[in-house]
Amino acid sequence: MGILSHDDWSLDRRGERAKARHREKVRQAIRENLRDIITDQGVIVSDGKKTIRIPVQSLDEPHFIYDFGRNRHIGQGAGQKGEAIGKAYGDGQPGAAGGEGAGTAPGSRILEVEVTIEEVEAALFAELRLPNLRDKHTPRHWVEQPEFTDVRQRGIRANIDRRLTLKQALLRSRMHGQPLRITEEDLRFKTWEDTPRQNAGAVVIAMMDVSGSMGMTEKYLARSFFHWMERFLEHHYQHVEVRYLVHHVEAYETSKDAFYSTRESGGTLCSSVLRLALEIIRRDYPQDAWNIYPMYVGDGDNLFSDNDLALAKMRELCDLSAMSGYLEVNPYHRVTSLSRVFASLLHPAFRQTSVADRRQILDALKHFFSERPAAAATGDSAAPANGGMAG
Amino acid sequence: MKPGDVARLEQSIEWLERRARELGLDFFDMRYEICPPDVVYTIAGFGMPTRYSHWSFGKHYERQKLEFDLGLSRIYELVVNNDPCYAFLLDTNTVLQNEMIVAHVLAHSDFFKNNARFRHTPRQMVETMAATAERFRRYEERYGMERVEEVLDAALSIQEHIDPSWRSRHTREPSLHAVPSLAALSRGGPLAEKDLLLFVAAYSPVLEDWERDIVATVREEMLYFWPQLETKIMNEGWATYWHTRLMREMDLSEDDAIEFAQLTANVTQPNRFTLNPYNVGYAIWRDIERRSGVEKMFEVRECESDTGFLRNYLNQDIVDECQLYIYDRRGLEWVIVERDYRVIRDLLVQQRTNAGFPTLRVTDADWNRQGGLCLTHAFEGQELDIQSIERTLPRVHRLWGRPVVLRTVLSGREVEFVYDGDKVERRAM
Repeated sequence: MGILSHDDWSLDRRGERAKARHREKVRQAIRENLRDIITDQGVIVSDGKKTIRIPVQSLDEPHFIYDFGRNRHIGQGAGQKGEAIGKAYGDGQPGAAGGEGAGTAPGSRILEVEVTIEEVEAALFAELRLPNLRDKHTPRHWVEQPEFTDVRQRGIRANIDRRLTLKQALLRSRMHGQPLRITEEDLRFKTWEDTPRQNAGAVVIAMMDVSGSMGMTEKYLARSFFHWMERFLEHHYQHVEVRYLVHHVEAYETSKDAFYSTRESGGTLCSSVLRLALEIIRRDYPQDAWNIYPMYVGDGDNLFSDNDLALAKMRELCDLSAMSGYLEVNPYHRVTSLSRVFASLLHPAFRQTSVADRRQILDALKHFFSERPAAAATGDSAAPANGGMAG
Repeated sequence: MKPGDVARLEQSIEWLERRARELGLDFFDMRYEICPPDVVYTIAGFGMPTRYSHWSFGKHYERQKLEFDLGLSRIYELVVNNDPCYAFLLDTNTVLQNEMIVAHVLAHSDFFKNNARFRHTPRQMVETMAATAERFRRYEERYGMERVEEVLDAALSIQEHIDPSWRSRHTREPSLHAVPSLAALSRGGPLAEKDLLLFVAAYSPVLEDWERDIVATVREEMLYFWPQLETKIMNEGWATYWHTRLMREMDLSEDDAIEFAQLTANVTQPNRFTLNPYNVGYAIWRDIERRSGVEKMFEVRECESDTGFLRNYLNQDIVDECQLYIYDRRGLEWVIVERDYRVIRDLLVQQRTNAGFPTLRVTDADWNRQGGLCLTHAFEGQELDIQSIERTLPRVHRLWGRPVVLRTVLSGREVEFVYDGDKVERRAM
């Protein structure tokens, strides 16, 4: 007869190892799909949740397979000819929404992976920095920084001050005429104190065009950009102030909530918001104490007669700031008056680019918030923000 | 299984094996291993107890383990075509479940040993795969995991494109070192090579020797698995028939009899969207027994594969009993369109041909005079999935290193997909 055995298998880790490798591949896929993730509405509104589910192009080895939706199939069960047995979804796969029954939908391609927001943000923001950030004496911003300042006779073993301990042992043994030995009472420990230290203060002036020419898409793109900008700032920096300005023909400051929900209309006077930004900076943020980042997002439409003034105000902002940015939301790749005007502004602190769709937001963030802007972008606003920007 | 159950299982195994032999089953020596779920799901994920490691096996392992943890698990059997034949039993199963599995895998073992399609499968595959795993591990040390994985990813993507009929057409397995040169090959008339893996391993202009070895090994393993893919309905039906018969002869308590009935009902439960091979296979075998007796059953299990099994033995009675139908897309819904056994039989045979995979042939190894590889789909009415073409061609390119082309038919038009290393282009021909 056959042999029945009951061995000890507890050391078999092959399944777990292969599983770990699969997990790693999934995370890699997430990093590769960041552009899609960042534009996902679900992610944008996910404030407060710790994890999100991200659809990742399935990690299967692709095969040449038949098109399920365009072929006939065999099933089993009751029903007359002509009777419907299920809905056909986009890709033709049958089955009830949400639940994947026992083999009802062969090889569904989307794999949902649960990841933490931190994981996504860490991957997204790895390359982003506030450019030209300098240490400034900002009165409002102090951080607690641990510093070893004192030596005591009690403390944590890990913090033994070896030099002082040896010195103490030498001193004691000499005094008593004994050979050198280190005893318990010779031990000296470093201790620390939290000392407040000044931080490099930074302020972002977020300016958005809310005039009538900004359609649904444009406003969505602009807000997505600012949303991810804020997430990145919170992720990287402890204290960055953000001021929110909106404008049509007039400019005014709003709360954060209002900034993300305001619906306005009317004409466009770009200089109005730039002038307001200058006022705020001069009043609240002295240049020697603050790194200043004015960031203007609009659709490029501006009253023709206002262009010269806008250019002059932007130049003034550049003089005061570590970086001044202009992002044009331009879904139709139009050549706009404002982009042409700003293109003539050859100022080292000035950066400009445009986005046509949501997939380019990450490129735009990289363009503004990196130490050096991508070369191709400056002065060529008509180019969409992919390609050269990413590099 | 509770303590004390092992003794009962041992007794049952002795009885089951003896009774199975009396009834005519002829199986390999059996090795039953009782293991914890982790191990069973590892083996199920890897497909074999000693296979090399790949992330896709880890994915299957994780999915099955998750289903187990959620109580949704459906693995009732895990049996390896090998001499001796290995069967893995979950230590969390009830003793009755394991008895039923033993009865079930005895019939599989008989099928492996006696069905004609399995005649040329190596019976020491467990050892062979252990050696392969060791070799691949050394490649990983030497060339890096990423590179080994890349080649494996690509080879696994086209693993089903082999030619199992090599074994019947040739007495000797073609060796990588004895293939004719490409030039000699093309002098022999128009190229139409079905064994894509062999072709790539032999003629790829870019692969290194160890990479060729990986491709050739994936092919070897697929040749080993192929008969199981070709006889799924027959083999599961055969095992279900015999486990039912053997268990009914066993002296079961009332509780065990109820549990057994429930288990069998689960295994043979029909599905609206696919054919359940346990259910349909079992019904066909019982129909053969009714009409022609048990003798005939043994003859059929020796000679046929799924296509012949369905073509010769599916009839209206079975279609009615199993409530088989064809469904098709009508607008936004799937609709039952056919109940006639002849139409169902013909579609089933078509779907089971080439083990259910599209047939591709290498028709040009110097496409566009760029050394490109051209694959032609033998179109027989079933269209290919476009996204799958676009995602798989780059994998072929990884192995061939020159442009790769797939020709097929979409909406009645001949089209070709070309991947040149950068992007997939689609052209009408």
